Amino acid sequence: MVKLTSSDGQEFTISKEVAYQSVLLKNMIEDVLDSEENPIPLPNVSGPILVKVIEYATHHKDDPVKPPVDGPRTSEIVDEWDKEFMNIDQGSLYELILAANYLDIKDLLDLGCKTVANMIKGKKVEELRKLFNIQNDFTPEEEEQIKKENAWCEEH
Amino acid sequence: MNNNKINKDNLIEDTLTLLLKQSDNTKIDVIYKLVNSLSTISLQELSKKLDPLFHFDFLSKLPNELSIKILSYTDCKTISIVSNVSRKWHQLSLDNTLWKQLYTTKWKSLAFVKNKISQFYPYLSDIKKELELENDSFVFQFWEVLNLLENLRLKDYQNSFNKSFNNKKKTENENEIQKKYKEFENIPGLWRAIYYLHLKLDSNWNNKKYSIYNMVSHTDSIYCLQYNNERIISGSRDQTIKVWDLKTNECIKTLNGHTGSILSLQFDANYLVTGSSDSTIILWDIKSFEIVRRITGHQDSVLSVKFNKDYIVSSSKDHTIRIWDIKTGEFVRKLEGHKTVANAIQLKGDIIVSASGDRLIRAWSLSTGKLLKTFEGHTRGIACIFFDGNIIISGSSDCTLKVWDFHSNKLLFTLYGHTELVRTIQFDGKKIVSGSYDRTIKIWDFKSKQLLFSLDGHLSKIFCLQFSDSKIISCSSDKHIIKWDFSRDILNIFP
Repeated sequence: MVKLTSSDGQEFTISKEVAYQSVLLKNMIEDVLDSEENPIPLPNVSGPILVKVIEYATHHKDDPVKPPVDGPRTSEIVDEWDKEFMNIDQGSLYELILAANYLDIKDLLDLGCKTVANMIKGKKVEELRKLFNIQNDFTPEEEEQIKKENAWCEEH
Repeated sequence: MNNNKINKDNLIEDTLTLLLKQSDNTKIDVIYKLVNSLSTISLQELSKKLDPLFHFDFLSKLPNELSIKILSYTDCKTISIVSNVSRKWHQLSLDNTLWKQLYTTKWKSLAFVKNKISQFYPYLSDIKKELELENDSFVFQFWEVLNLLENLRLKDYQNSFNKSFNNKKKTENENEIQKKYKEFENIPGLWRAIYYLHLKLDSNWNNKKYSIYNMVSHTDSIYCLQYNNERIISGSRDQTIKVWDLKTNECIKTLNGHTGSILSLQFDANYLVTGSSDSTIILWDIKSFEIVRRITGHQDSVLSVKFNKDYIVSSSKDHTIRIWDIKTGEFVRKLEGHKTVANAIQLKGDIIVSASGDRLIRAWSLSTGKLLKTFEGHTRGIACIFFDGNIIISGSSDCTLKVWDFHSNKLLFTLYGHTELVRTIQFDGKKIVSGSYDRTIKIWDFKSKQLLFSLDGHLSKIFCLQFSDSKIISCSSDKHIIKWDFSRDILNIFP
């Protein structure tokens, strides 16, 4: 078993196979011999987010190891459980992506990125500004220029 | 009265200070009680005010590399909208890594671009200099990059002639080239420009938009041709071989050496090999165009020649296929068992594939001379053949093209459309292009097995063609070479 401490001081005990989903934890556990005694501090991950991460890692602990592929990308999320798991508020999603990146859990990071990509796809400029609470900081001239530059994208 | 108000304000202030020190749970309790006391209208007002707190700008807050990763799961159209959202999003939407990934997703492979980019190595310092001037400008230098590539094309053209004929020594080693390639790839906006150009090129093919260039200089039928990034080499019944500049379409050299028609040719970075109806094969130095040696032995016209770094393979009207040592010109072996003439041969690795008038395709081992397999299906003689190691495509006097799986020996499908003998074929993994005695060139889609379109322009039988991502070049008994250029209206950075 491995003990972890979140940024807000909560302590979690998880099995090694769950912990090994994270490349960061795997390296730490292998480097430190007494990880079962001393909890590993995770100053970048809050308690509620660590709960989510552990839930994900536990669910996927028996997944076969996928070889890394460097090819075409699709934002489609095939696994229904994953889809439901990602049904969370924007703040948590943001923190979860950062946590997955920090802990180096590739599949969770990909899942987080795909989820945001799907939020962006198929929306109009105004809808995106509203969804992510963004102020339009372009001058009218800049806006016009960018529209011109992008005309070719929209034709196809 | 006034005192009362001040007292009340102070009281609220003090209470607030006290509440802010409480735990989240206590705060939630108090807020909930307050919210419950609100009228419906005020509640809506509150909800509107709270809403932005639950929405915030992911892409600006995340480290750039993660925002780029998110965007790389979208597509060109989405990115064009993303770039209109805010300055920060606009900046992200131009990222090279992002566009390289979008390119890979759309076109599956980068091989095609890598090949072409190598042409720009010599101008790297110029590009960097020019782009540094633009680096601070807010509006992205997309069009500047395109203009730059356009200018380079001119330089490319000016230098290509000297480069190819002066036999300049290459001073750069592999590592140096790799380093330069990396630098080149990182030019701001480069991958976006490349994506744009490839999209335009695809759209020209899909919409059959091309420019046509006629090259006239041969005085009789043109039987064979091949081209690379710089030149076209053609062989004719007028007994000459001509070298053409690919960009200007001008004949820059005429080679004399055969005393009959030139029926087949192939060239690479070192050699040109030609086969003629005078029964000989000539090996030429590709740089000086001097004759290295003349290979004799065939008893009749040499119909087809192919070579690799070690051997020349030739088929002749004398019913034999012979293998020769390219370094010495010595005869190595004959492929036995052919009863009729092999009209065309292809060489890939250790496999020789031959197509003959007896309606059969045969595959042989180059190293042992053994017959490996035969393919049977055409109802008339076979005139031409294509082989890439996996797929064989044959064109026949029965007017069809047949597509075969080399490994399983299976006929995959037959393409109907030509009305006379199919004389020349090439395949790039997606498109099959065929030329026929019916004077047309036909472009077929491998996946859907459909005819995409036909090109009319030659006035007589088509004998040979080659195509690449931007063009088709064909030759005919009408004495013309035609370049069908699909890079119309766009700068041609593609081979």
